[in-house]
Amino acid sequence: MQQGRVAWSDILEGDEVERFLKSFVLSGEERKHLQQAHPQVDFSALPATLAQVQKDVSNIWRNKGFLTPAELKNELIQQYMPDADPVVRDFVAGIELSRNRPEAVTGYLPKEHAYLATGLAHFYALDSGMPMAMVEVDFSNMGGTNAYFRDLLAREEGVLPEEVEPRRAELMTDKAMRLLAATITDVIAKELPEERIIPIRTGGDELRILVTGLGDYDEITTLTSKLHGAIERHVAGMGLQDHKHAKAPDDPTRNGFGAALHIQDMAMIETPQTIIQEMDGVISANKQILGLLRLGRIDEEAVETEAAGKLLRGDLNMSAEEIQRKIADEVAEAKILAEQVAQKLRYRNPAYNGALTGGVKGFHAYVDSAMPKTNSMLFRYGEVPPVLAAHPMGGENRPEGVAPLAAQEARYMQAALHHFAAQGIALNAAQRHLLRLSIEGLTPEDPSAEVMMPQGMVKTIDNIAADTKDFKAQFDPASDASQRALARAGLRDMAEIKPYGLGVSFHNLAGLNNALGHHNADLVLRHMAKHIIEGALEYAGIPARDSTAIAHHGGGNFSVLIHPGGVDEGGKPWFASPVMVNRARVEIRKRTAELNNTNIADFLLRKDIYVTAGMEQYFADEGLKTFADVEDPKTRVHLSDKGPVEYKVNGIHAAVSTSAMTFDPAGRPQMSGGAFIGRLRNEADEKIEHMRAHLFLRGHAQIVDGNGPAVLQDYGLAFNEAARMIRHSAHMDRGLMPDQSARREKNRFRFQQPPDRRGRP
Amino acid sequence: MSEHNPAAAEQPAEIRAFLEAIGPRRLTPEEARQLNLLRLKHGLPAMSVTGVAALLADDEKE
Repeated sequence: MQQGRVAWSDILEGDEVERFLKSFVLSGEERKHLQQAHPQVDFSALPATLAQVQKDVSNIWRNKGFLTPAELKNELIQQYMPDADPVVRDFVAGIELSRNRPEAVTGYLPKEHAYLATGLAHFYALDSGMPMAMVEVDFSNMGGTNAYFRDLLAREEGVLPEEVEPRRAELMTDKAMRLLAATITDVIAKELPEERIIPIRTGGDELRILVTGLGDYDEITTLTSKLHGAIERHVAGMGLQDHKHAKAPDDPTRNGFGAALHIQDMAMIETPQTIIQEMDGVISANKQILGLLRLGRIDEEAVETEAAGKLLRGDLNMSAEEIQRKIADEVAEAKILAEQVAQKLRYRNPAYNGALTGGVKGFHAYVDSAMPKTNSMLFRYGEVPPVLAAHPMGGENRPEGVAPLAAQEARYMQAALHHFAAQGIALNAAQRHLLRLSIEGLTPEDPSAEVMMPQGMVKTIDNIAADTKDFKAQFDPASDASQRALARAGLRDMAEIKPYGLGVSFHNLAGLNNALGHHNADLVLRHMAKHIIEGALEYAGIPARDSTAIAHHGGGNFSVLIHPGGVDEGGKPWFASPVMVNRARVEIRKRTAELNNTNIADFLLRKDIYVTAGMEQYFADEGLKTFADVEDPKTRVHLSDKGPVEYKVNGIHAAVSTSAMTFDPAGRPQMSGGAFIGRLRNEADEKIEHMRAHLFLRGHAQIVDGNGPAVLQDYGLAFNEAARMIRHSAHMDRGLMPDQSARREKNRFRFQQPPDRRGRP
Repeated sequence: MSEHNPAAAEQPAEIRAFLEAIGPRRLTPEEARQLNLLRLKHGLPAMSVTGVAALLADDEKE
């Protein structure tokens, strides 16, 4: 990219790229400060400007080709510490290569790399002028496939589906997903053997593959057909063509498992803010076409349009009659082909071909024999240096020189420095700066929400739990400062000081994605993390920035760790308490209710999104004034004594579960941060489920096929049911504030929206 | 390594207008279908129905 020609906002995920490049810059002020503190150290190898880092990146690409984000980071760090001991250089290379570790199901890079890798790929396409394509893949009907496998297992084992452990079915769906993911990269690698292929799992049912050297339109079209062909053959071979779609059981074109994709030439991205939405649209169209083909049918208009387009761009001397005739021939031929396709696929499918082994055994045998081995060759990865892999690093295992409750990065850094010191290797300030930069990557951020990934949270919880005893030992219980801090927290003595965990579940992230697109929905997700959760913690008197950790677990699910206490800016101790935690919980709900009252266009403007006239018109047409108008894409069912009623819970809602953390991973190894956070998340999920039902019973839901208030009047059970919900929720809260929780639950909906145009009374 | 197709250096105005009219949200299935038809009309990379069908109908092309 030439300086000044393209703004970061013109690059897909350009802010991620800018942030990454800036992290290497040692600005004039920082440089001056470090130079004064370390006059003997040479900082000249560290870049002073963003432009310099950009130039270095361009040179690396020119010499080594396109790289994964971790590989690129390693190259830059190695360049910026030319005089470092080889042991240190290898150590950093080890850290960075460990970040290339693939995720377990697909063998692709995990989501933490998604935005930066995408942004770098777009930057590469514009900077180098070389072809670069992005293959966006969306799987179909994962939920329906889980249900299908559960039924299949139950049938073969002679038990009810409910008796089959859901995880067993999910593992089979994962295996089917892995075959398709491996097949996609295998086909691309065979078509483009010389090119760099970087596959990333971007979501639960989404993949993205970055491919260099792919920009020619005919080549993209041919590859698109080949990939879909390979996918369809495997879906048939696995016997997964026909089971019902979880969300559309009456539409046979959506039956079965599968994946559809679209390939985007990255040099052609005009509007980064909406390109993913555009690609999702094409993928959705491809799913419709493939669904028809499985049934031996075609979308005639698509065939006509494709044929007409080709003819009109080709021989200009053809008469209108000739064109019409050729188009009609194409359609007739496509119909015959489609019937042949359906037959051929069924021939491969054990459900139709008795000569093939079907069932669970047949599925496993097919996948095992068909699995390509390409993925393992696409990128190198290694183990994190053993000294950093040690866990836990809290309590008696905390590295020497690290204060109790220190951040994860501080523990890693100190462990690394001890490791080097033991070998007689001293790092200068410049090298320590770069080592820290590498180590920060070991606690990666979720790029959508810009908070910690779950794996970092699990380790952090274990370490903070193990550190709590040492933290408390820092204070004299009899001192005035400690006594005042205990009184402020409403605690009787030091024994009551504990860390806390929160599970926060926001309802309707899917609706946000549908209404605003991924890019804008990410802004809302970040608002949830920073303004709603972190803001609520600050409001409750918890210094959130230094004394909490927030992780995003996908969708609208977050977890929060609150330290047992700390020392505030004035040097006074503070201790976490149930009162503070409860205040934070109430505030999260209050701030979520405020979000519902927020005008969507105003929100986007405040986030520096330029709201076009087209967007304003769209918001007006869709009745999207505030976030309370965001439609729930899922139709839910309430089974009443009058029969089933379908409803939707529009808007954004939050449920919060809380718990004191009372385990010590060193003393009780059977407990772990993972189990603790898993329990909290399950409770939050359960609460949000009850909240949806409760909102419906209170008349705050949109009835799908009728007039909401009129229908609601028919429910004799409504108030009894609501009371049961309140009792249930109160029971779940009892561990924290038994005497107040029921009252809080009764008041829980006071912030809900007034009636709106979507039928909420 | 292939070269770019210079004829397709810009998004056709018809597609740009179509997407702008939809705004920043997920396309409905029918809008998605219409978008695909526009791509096919303008010769942008898209899945070819006949291409996939021919491939699947021919066992030799595995």
